[in-house]
Amino acid sequence: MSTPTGFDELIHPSTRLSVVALLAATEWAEFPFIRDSLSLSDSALSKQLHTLEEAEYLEIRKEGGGRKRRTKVRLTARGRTAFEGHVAALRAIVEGAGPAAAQQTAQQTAPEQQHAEASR
Amino acid sequence: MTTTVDAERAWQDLQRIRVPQERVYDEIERSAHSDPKVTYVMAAVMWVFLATMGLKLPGWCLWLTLAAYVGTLGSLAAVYSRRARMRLHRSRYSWRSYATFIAGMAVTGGTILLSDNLADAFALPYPSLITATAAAAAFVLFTGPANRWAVSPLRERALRGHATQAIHEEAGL
Repeated sequence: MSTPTGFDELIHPSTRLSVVALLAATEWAEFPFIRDSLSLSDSALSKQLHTLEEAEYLEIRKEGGGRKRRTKVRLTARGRTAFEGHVAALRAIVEGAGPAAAQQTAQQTAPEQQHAEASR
Repeated sequence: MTTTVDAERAWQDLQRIRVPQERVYDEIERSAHSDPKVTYVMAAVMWVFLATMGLKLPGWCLWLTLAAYVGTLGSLAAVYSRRARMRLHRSRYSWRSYATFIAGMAVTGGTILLSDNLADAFALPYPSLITATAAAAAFVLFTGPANRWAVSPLRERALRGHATQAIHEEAGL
């Protein structure tokens, strides 16, 4: 099976996809907010952020100093475009699978959705 | 290296995107429902400014007061912005956010004009204090509910967009 245009290998891993999805809804977010929202450790998040920063998908800015030092993360235009392209590619894969497969996957993921909504 | 993704995995990835975005809306709603301190501080600053306008001060002093008022509001906005843990992307706001801002100015401005005219018409003592109190009260009463009204459809709007796309996908297959 070939992947459609826009599918981004860099965003594809689940942790990176979650990080980029969160940042796509924001102008910027602080490092602790991303860490807490995604239940990641400092080191795990830092690693993913630096990988995405190297690809120029996001910018990391440090403000202030000492105890008031804050790290803000912002998705770049390139990162936003890549995320939108990746989402479009995922939709194209689901569309291309046919109604039976879509229905089957929807049924399989329904309990997960309920669980996610219940955990809100 | 290329990754092949089947429909099930693609569907799960699409669902996975929702979870972190829900956390963003949780934070937006939490901010709108809590921390009324900034509203009270802004109302207090407004009260002082409007009460000062009623004093028989020279022109340069009124301009100085206006500059101090604008400067204080700017500082408050900067402090509040610095406390925020994230900011929602501009594309995610709805018309309600802009309507709330304009309505807030209209309500406060209207209260100032109305209370000023009433205080003059009834020849009440300390009209500037009455105007300042009425305007500050209107601001406090309006801001909380208006902010909650402005953010309430944001999550639903984002999820409805997602759901509509999912339905569209299934219908279009």
